[in-house]
Amino acid sequence: MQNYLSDDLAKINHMSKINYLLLLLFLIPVSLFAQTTQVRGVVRDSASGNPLSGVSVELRGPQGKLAQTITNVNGEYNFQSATTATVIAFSYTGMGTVEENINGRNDISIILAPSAVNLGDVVVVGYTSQRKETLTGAISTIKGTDMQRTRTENTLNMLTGKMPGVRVVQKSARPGAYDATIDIRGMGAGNPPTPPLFVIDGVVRDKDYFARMSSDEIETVTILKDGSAAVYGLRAGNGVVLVTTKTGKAQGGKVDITYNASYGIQQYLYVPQSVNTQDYMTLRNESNWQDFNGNYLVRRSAVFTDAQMGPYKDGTKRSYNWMDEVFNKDAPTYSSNLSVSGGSDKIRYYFNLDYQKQIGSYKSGDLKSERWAMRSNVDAQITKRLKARVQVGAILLNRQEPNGTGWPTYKATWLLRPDAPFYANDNPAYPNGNTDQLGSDGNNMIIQTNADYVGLNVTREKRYNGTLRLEYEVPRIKGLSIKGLYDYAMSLPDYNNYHRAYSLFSFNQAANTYNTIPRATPSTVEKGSNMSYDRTFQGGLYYQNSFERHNVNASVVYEATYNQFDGFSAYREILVASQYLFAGEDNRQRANGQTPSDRASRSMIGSVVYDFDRKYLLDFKFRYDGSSRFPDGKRFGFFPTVSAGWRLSEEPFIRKNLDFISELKLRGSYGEVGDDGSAGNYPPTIGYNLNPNEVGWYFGNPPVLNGGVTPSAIPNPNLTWYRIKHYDAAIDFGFLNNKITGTIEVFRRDRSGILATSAAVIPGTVGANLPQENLNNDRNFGYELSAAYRSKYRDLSFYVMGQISATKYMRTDWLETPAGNSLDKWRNRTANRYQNIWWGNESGGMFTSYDQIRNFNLPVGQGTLPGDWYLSDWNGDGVINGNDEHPIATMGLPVFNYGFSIGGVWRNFDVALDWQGAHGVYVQYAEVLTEALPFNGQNTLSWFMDRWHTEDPNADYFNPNTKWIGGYYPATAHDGRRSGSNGIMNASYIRLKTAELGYTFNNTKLLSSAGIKEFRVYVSGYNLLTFTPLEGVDPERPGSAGGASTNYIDFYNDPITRTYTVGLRLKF
Amino acid sequence: MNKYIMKRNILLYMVLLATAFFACQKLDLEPKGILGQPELFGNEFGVKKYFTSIYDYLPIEDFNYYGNNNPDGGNAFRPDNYWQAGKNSLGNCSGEFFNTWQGVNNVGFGYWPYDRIRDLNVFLRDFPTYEGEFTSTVYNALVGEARFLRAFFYFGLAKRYGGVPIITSVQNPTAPRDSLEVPRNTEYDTWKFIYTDLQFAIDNMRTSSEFGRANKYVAAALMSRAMLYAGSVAKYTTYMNYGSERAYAGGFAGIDPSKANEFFQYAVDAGKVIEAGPYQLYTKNYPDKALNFANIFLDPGSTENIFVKDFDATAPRNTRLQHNYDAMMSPQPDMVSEVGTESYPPFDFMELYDMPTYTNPDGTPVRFTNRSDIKTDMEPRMKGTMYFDGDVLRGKTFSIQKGIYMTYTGTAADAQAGSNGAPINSGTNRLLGARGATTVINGVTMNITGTHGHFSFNADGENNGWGAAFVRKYINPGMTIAEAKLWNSTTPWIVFRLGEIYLNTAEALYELGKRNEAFDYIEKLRIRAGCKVPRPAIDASTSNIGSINKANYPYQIEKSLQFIRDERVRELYGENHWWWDIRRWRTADQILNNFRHRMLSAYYVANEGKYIYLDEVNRNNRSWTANKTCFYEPIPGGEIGKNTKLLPNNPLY
Repeated sequence: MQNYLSDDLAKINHMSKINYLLLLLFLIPVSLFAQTTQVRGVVRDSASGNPLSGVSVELRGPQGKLAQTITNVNGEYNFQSATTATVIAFSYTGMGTVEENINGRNDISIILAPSAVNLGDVVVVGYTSQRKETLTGAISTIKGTDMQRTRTENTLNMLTGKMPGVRVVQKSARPGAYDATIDIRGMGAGNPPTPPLFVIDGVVRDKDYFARMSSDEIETVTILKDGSAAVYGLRAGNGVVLVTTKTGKAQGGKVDITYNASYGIQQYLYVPQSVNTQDYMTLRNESNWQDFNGNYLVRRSAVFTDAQMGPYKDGTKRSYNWMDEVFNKDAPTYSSNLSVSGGSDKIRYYFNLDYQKQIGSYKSGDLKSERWAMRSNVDAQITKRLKARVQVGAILLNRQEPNGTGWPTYKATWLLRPDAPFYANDNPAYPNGNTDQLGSDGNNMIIQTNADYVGLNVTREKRYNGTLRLEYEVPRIKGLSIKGLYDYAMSLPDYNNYHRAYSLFSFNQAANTYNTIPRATPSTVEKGSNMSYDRTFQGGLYYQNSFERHNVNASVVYEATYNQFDGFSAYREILVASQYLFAGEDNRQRANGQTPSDRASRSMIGSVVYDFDRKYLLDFKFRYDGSSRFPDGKRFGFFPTVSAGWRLSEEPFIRKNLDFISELKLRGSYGEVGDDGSAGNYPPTIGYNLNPNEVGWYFGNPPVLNGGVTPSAIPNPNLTWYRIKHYDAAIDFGFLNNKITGTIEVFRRDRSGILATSAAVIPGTVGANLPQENLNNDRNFGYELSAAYRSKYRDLSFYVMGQISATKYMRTDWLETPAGNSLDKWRNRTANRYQNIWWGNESGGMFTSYDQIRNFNLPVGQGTLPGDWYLSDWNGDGVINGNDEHPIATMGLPVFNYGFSIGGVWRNFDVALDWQGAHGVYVQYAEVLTEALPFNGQNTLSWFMDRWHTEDPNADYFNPNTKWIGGYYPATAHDGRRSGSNGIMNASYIRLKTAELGYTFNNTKLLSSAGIKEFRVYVSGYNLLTFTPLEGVDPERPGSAGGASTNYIDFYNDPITRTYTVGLRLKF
Repeated sequence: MNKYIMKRNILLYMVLLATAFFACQKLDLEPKGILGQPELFGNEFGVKKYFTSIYDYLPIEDFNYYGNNNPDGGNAFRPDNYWQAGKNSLGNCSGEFFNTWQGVNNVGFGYWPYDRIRDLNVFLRDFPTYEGEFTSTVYNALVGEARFLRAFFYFGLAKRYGGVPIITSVQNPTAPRDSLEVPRNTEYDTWKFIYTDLQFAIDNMRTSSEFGRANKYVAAALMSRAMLYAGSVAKYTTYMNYGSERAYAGGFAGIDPSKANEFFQYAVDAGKVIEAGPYQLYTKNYPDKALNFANIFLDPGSTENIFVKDFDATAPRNTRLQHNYDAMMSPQPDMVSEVGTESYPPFDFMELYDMPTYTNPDGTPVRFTNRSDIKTDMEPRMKGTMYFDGDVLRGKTFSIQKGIYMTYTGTAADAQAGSNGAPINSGTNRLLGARGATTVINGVTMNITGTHGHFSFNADGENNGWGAAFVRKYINPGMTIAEAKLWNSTTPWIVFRLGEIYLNTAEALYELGKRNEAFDYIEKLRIRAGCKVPRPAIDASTSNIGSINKANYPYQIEKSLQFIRDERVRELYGENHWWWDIRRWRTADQILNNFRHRMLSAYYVANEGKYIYLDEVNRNNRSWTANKTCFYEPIPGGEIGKNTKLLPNNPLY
């Protein structure tokens, strides 16, 4: 073996020398055959004006392709013999294809402009790549550079509003949280959401990996939305996001070094403020007096007397604005990126190093995250027929936050009373901890957000992956190659949560002493790690050839994957001054192990893509999958996809008669996909799970905790894949030489055999659930429209593009307890019905006077006051109750999502605006956001001042002669617009997601002398403008229900930011 | 030539590489983290592990038990948000404690633990396969333990629903629907089934066991309690006038009164079994009988403990083996560092004990020099059950005062139970205030309220001493203030103790007509309690008026039997017995008939420099009302939907 290897290496050396020789030989003909008709020129990039190397240039005659070349480092190309050529076509990844009629010219230079969607692009689709024009599936593509117009820490957010059918909602801008959801055509948008499959350079990763990637390393992102996703099988049922990273270009050994740096200011959007002391006291008094029962017969005295309020009114006492003291209004973010790329025809490389830092809103500065991303892609031509590619990627994330902070931080700060001093006796050495003032939790949020007091939680995520690919062109059979890939990836996050005991103080006025209030004792440390290891192998035969006008692209691939999960954590109390586990106490220490698990899959993937003359297109693909998660015998599934297309624009009758049509394609697809995502890790077996974290008991003296077991569910030997059927039909068009392009698309996805447990229908006395069965069916359907217009006018090239999509979801056949009657069926059953319906009472109007209350035709509550809402008696039965509930809004993610982009380049300036919007989305907020003086009269938000109240603050609320002043909210402590349709707010919005203005310095002598090839500076804004009917709250902030909410408390998330970024890009 | 060989080789390598590593990626993965029956049933430790989960689900109404339907998820025994149990406790729902959140709610939470019963039936079916692995003593003891555990779940069902389906086999969920729809058994059969299981357990289990695990005496203790319940149900349900109710007529709710003595006798017999065991009333801290009583609940080595559920702060959160009792029963921040008091003892319960005189024979309030003088002459057991002004917890002294009277002339009745409308309570004569409120009297700044309550203008009852006492039972003074926080209490919950068994036996004996024998047990408890009259004379005269809330019972009861019932309240206060007792006595609807708690409020009389205590109605004027549906919970509606053979539903549903 060793001998063979060294032999091979010797031969490789030998080969390279031969290749140099060949290279020299190739150069000779340039002069020898120069006398024939020649076409040459230079290709330049529209943005920088610099020459573009690696552009594919094709000479075409009436019979088709005549010759092909690529541009050199100086962007030059040269065809010696072009006598029969009529058309020359330039194509470059990400810039599409531009065709020019030669018309006898010898010098054809051209400027290529970047484009978001272009019909001529090459698209990576499921193990191979295809030309966009011959695609038959529902596929959208975006280039990395178009994503990067949106400057934000989360790569996922860069897709927002730019691709039809893709919904991205940012739920929080908390540093290091990467808290955004994505779904494709509403698929998997349940609760919790199941994101689409993320495939990065051919290997399955996950949403979190993508969110943390460096956007600079992304060449393109392709979204597979229909049956074409099927080739990714397994968990591809919710669509696939394919990411291709950059590759070095053969540019004669020259190196490009690119450096990007930016600095941004994040402003926190829509952060409500709490009221000051005077307002607080006013509201507390109002809430005291609105309570009919508490004031019945003998009226309560005021909570705060005029004497107490006076000093705040006249300014002798000050209010404490906790929000300003705990949070900054803005915080910086930095990023810088260095990439090196280059190569020769033998070896090409791309290295990228990316650093990003985001500071959070806490004034202490202790909330922040840092992210490093590294990638190295090296392509080597080992022999003439053998190519290798090595890709190494690493993403490191370091996130830190003060212990105990998170979702409750904004909540707790809003609730802090304005008369509670920050510091006991206003002495900064003694942070206030007086529970009489701070509320029963006693949290002083200034201290609570300061890691010096409460300790620091540090989470380090580490993701590594390495991929080796080999590609071998089989000799003698033209177009046949063998490709193999092996990938090993691991994720090794670890965390160290240091919970620190600290002291707060209360001031004893009489004794002039400070009482110590110990908090959070004892200090503890918890440290742990959850690791996962994944490996993927792919190997297959690929065949691509053309026979006259028949083009065939076929492949058969074998794929095997193995994933392994494990984890553990350890906990100790810590009494010495340390924050590390080693220094902890043995007493009460504990260790936990996560239940280990693994999974495997084996698949055969086949694909035949055929077209005749690029006119009639037919694809057949299949996948034969086996998953270790299903029982033997039910393990394998076969999932075929067929799609077809017809490019009418290639037909002579269109070409001749309707020459404004440059592209017109009808296409449709039908595909089946399997999904094992909801199955357990292992096929169901009879057994018991060790479940020490769920069940246990103390036995013995001293008592020792025994972990318990829980019986596994009764196995169903017939458990298998659920099946997904995708249907898709579309028209792609391009007019006026593809100046206008667009797509109209309709889709439907039917899932059958979704796992369900029919526990609801067997008596509970059996004591066991029925096994999970493949029972339920559902459907997603909708449409997408997208259109773009690109043109040029003198020095100005510009584009306008837009897209809109709509999606709905219904349960077609759903296992549920049969309805008892037709009302029950209408109200409570879900089968065969649109989902995402919001049921509720309709709010009628506000009572404006006692008279109206007295004469109201329906029963009203005893303590009803002017300003109170009444619900409408929808069914007219004379009472308002649950029977009046009916659909009042849509629930969940927006029905309509749209975006439009405008941009252009004029001389050295470039500008881009990306608007994004959602329509048909409703949210409901709760607690602090909807309730005045929540949680037993703690502080409240300032918008509750706009409420119904009596003209005379001391008036009797229940005296019919009392004069009232109207407001938006009912009287304090009455239902603050929380029930009925009142509580449900329209969160539709349109926002200027991104605006960017750039200036590229000309290729001047000064720059060249410094070795600078490209120099661009830009200013950019994120979330600059928002238009929404929602008041006071960011429309993307999740609600307690509705919108992107997956959790009742999501609405306390860190606010979303508006970011202003300045940056530069230098290329050497 | 060479070239071809090379390429062939490369191809070969690729194929080899692929084959070696992946071509046969196994899909039959050995499941990780799963145990089978041989591992669990084949040896004693495995059985213990199997039982561990059963123990954790036992219907033990401990610190974490929600009396109400649990709004935060989980069931009432294993609530997800169990720190909320402080305000949702059984005591708070039944009026035994006072706070402002809960009213009586007897709809229940659909308790239906047939999943655990199935686990036990699986064990009883399959364990015989492994009989050879054990000695017969151990084997029988483990079978007995399984039957004890099963009986415990049926007890949890029977006391809520009466008759329920008795399932002893392992049903196959995919069997024909019809065979799975099991009808209810009668209430008599249900209790008899519990009796049979427990009798088997008593006969087969070992006489000792490790701490926290059941043995023969634990089974007997459950028998004692369960049979007393069954006897009371048999005896008193007849007074409910359920005549026309189908569940009553069919015997699903209620038992023929003639069967009462059978169950009472079982209870007495079970008590005798325990008396033969190693248990003794706890007297370690004599002569300080108050401290002794408090320590019953704190000393894990108490000689009185029969069965104990232990808790620890280090237990994983989801096991619900942590609790928060300390953080929720004492004032914050003085005595605990998180949450603060959620429940207070009402005066109605306090006055059942030997109370000091606080009103003179002429009707005027007794003048005390110090507020803490109220404890002079107080029954030691009461002092061991509640904290009063002047008591010290974790280095801080309780300070409980409601307000100041500038002057107090006249009788206690002049205060009209604290009404704002009473002339003597005019705003200028009676000063009330918020936390920390002060006033200046004769140039001296005085606190209007005590440090720990009770305060006006506090919207709720949280952390505000309502009345004169805080709960002491189960409070661990050994913790520091900083340690007294959420999830940090470690005090075990005593499931069965000898004191309760004595009370069970005494009541059963009295019901059987053995009055003097009954009072032998009462006397033992009252000596330990430090009562002034350890053995009151038997008073067999009858009345239908109860003690608390002067309830109007639907039957006549001998005064000494009422005394035994009151003794039960005194001894077992705050141990989650009261609600079930007033249910089985069928008096709950009368006791909780607009039951308006009273509080004993301390005032400073400014012109005299003395303190008085007044009997007042709770300030929020809250009242508890239970109606006649409260004696049975409805069969869970969802279950009836799945199996109509569970009908008829319980009376009045």
